Amino acid sequence: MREDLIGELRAIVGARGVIADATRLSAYESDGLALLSEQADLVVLPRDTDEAARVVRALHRAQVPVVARGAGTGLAGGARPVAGGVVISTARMRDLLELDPVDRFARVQAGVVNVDLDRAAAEHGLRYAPDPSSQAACTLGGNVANNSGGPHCFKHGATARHVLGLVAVLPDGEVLDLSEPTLEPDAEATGGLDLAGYLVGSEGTLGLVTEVTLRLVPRPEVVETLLAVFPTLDGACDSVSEMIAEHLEPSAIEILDRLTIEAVEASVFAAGYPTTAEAVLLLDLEGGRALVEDLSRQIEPIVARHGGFDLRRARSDAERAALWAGRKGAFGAMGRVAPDLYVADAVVPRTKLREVVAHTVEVCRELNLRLATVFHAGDGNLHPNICYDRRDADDVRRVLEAGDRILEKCIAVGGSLTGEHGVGLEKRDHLCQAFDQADLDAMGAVRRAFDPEGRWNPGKTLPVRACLELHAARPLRAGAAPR
Amino acid sequence: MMAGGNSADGKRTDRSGADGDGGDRGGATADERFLARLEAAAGATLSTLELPAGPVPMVAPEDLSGAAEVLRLCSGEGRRVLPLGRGTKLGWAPPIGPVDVALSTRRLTGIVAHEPADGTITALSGTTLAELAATAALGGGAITPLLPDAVSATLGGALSSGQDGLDRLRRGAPRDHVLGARLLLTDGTLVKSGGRLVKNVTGYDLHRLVCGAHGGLALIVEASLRLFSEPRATALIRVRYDDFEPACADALAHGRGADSPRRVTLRREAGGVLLEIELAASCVEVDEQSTALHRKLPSPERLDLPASAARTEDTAARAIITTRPARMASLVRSIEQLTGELGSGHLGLVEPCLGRATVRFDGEAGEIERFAAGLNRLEPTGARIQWRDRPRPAVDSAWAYGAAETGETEGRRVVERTAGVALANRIRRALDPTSTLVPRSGGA
Ligand SMILES: Cc1cc2nc3c(=O)[nH]c(=O)nc-3n(C[C@H](O)[C@H](O)[C@H](O)COP(=O)(O)OP(=O)(O)OC[C@H]3O[C@@H](n4cnc5c(N)ncnc54)[C@H](O)[C@@H]3O)c2cc1C
Repeated sequence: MREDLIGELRAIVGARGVIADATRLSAYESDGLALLSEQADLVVLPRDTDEAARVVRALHRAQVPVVARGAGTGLAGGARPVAGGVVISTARMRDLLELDPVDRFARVQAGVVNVDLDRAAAEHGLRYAPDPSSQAACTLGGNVANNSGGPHCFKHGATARHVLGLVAVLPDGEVLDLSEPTLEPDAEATGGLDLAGYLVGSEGTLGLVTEVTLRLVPRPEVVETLLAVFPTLDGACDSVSEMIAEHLEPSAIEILDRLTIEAVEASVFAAGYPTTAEAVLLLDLEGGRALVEDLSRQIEPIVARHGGFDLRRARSDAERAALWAGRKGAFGAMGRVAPDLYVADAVVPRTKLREVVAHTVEVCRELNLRLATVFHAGDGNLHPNICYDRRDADDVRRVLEAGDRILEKCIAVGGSLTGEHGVGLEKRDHLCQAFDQADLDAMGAVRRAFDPEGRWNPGKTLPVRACLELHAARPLRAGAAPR
Repeated sequence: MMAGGNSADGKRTDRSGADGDGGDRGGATADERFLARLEAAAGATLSTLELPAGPVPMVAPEDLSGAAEVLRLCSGEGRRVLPLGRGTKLGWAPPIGPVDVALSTRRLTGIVAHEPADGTITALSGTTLAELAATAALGGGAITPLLPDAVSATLGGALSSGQDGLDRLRRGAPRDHVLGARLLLTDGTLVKSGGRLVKNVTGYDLHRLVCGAHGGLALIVEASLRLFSEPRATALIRVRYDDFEPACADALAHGRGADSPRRVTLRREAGGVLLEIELAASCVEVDEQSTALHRKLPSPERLDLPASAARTEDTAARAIITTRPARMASLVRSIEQLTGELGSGHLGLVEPCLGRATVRFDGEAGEIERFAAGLNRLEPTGARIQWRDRPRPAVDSAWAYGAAETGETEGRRVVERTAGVALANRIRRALDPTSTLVPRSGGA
């Protein structure tokens, strides 16, 4: 990295805002996908939009590749560099800029941690609904970039439904200020296009989000947490499919399988899940008292019909919190079971839950891998978590093969490659299974409208080679979706 | 067959197409040949669409390949295309600049997939919202937006115009519930984004970008929507107030929740203000909410028939004025004062929880410019004004890309606006490099 550029960046963000020494840089070489790592040349930590814009302009002039980074909890390799370049971290952008309890929105800097906003909102009887399991660490900027979900997004929708506005620094350093919450995109500011909405889920490839305006919703009058025990994973899946078909609307519908339950119960997140169960179904019901009771009455027979028993209601806020802490701590708890965890993420139609979950079990059995499944069942968003040891090359090979086969199955039944973790580096080439070249070309053309030189998060989110080449290099397995 | 194309000044346009030199010399023949090719490409006979600047030939292909052929032909020959469904929203965002061909999706109809047990529906873009809603209802589902003119509004048109419905408060913006789409680009390429799943972050959301873009980026030919549970019960709560202030306060206090009512509106009535809260949900939820509202509101009256079904689409020239909900009461006061001064217009429906009010123009057509200029006095209060169905003088096409790239700078605000509009124009060129699709005011 050129010394004069480093000097220029230091002049903008101060000496503490630039990290250049190898030891400290190593903290930024991967995200939650530990399989992949690469060191950045430099990390820059601006404190606000103005500093960020000046940093981006300097990097634009110097033609340096840029990777945006929040807390680095992403699971698709999105926040790590591909070939050197500069990481812009939002770790020093942690201010809650405005919280308007009457108009029910908050304006935050991108580095604010998800749960901190929810806590601030709670003081006004409000909440920030999207609640990724990583919410104690992940940033709202990262949530926006990945359009993150969480258990309660079943009812409330993922991040995109909660973004009312944002401020972004575009790749050339121009500031796009769409921070005022508006019902529809303001034609004079956006040419009528939903530019803020398009930035949601763009995985740091279209610019740096520096501020976000987020919708807050009233905390529910009554919340009831239910836990149902199942003797089979199939039964748990089928009961969810039936709830969806019956149009029942709890606010969260999660399934945890046996290995996950064991790991949670042996960890600090122990929630009181029955360790003899093959699966548990964890539900939150929200609304007025009568609505919650009515829902609960409708759910009971469905659970029973599919072999569920011992339907338990959390009796206190503490018990409710513990049941959810267990769910949210599940990935962490898995650390006890294996040195590394490959957290897969895919979506299937909710009519196919049992079929695909059974397939993931079968694939892992064939490849002799330990599988723990915990997922947002109500949205059909699967997370088969596969235990492995990254120091063991054969383990790594088998894990990747299992991941591929699971994705192929999901696509074959009309599902998708990712429900919330994003494409990043991990699934970049898989995109050719879900889209035609023409689809990807159109997406690429719009990406270049933001970033003509392809310097933002290069090599991610879209394949860098043509689908034809990728298909030739790795023919699809039998049973995969015909495209 | 008719001679093709209009321009703002009423003259025929022929943009250096393969067949013409742009002048009058032999132009009619070139046009006739073009129209014959257009008809052949579409596989359908031509009709005529009346636009303020004059009539244009309109094609409504029966299938995707016909629509792709039309776009390919027009982009190849430098003809400008105005995409539309059944044309019910043309007055919302009039075409800026000349139109050579109107391309309607009205015959691209049909439900492609309906998965009641997964809560999704997919249809071709010319399908009416009424047909979609009826199909969804067979499986106990409901769609959004809920439009008064669902019988004539097409899926593609509703999404392109960014129209929300009577259920906006409960459901949020329709674009939030579009799961995926197939789009025709002007070179005839068919592309898709998203899928038919209620949750999905695979690839960029082109389907989100075309919502509200008024057909300026690509032709929507198919879209998938998330379904909601069909409401089993409805109720309408009415309360009368002396003035807007307490009505707005009550609406904001009791009309928004974790589960909001379908609709909360206010309107001026003889001697006061009428608040209407429309509930539409399961029987239990409607009963529970209505009981709670009866406790909280001053002498409410409950009707079990919802009014929305009976309401018709407003087609008067009207300004939609938005602000933050907390400023609604003061905005309404300013509007009533201003319309009183200006004459020729009055306050229409007020949606306090959305921060939106309608001002209907009821003067002579010639007075509208003065009236609109008068309403602009609301802008310094932070209100945004958007006109619908406003009669306009034909606009110069140079306006389309104007402000964005002329480098006008008046302090920070204009520079910021420039970044967004310039970006929108780059996006438009990325998807439509031949600038075949006619931009619309309000769209990119
Ligand atoms: C234990 C665990 C549980 C998880 N549970 C969930 C879950 O329930 N639901 C879910 O959706 N995800 C979950 N995740 C994934 C992850 O937490 C989310 O994707 C999260 O939103 C990432 O936020 P971050 O701040 O860590 O972003 P990072 O990992 O730092 O970055 C993620 C991506 O966003 C980009 N980015 C970050 N900040 C910005 C910015 N300001 N502007 C532009 N681009 C930016 C990066 O370039 C990268 O592509 C989980 C992860 C872990 C480790």
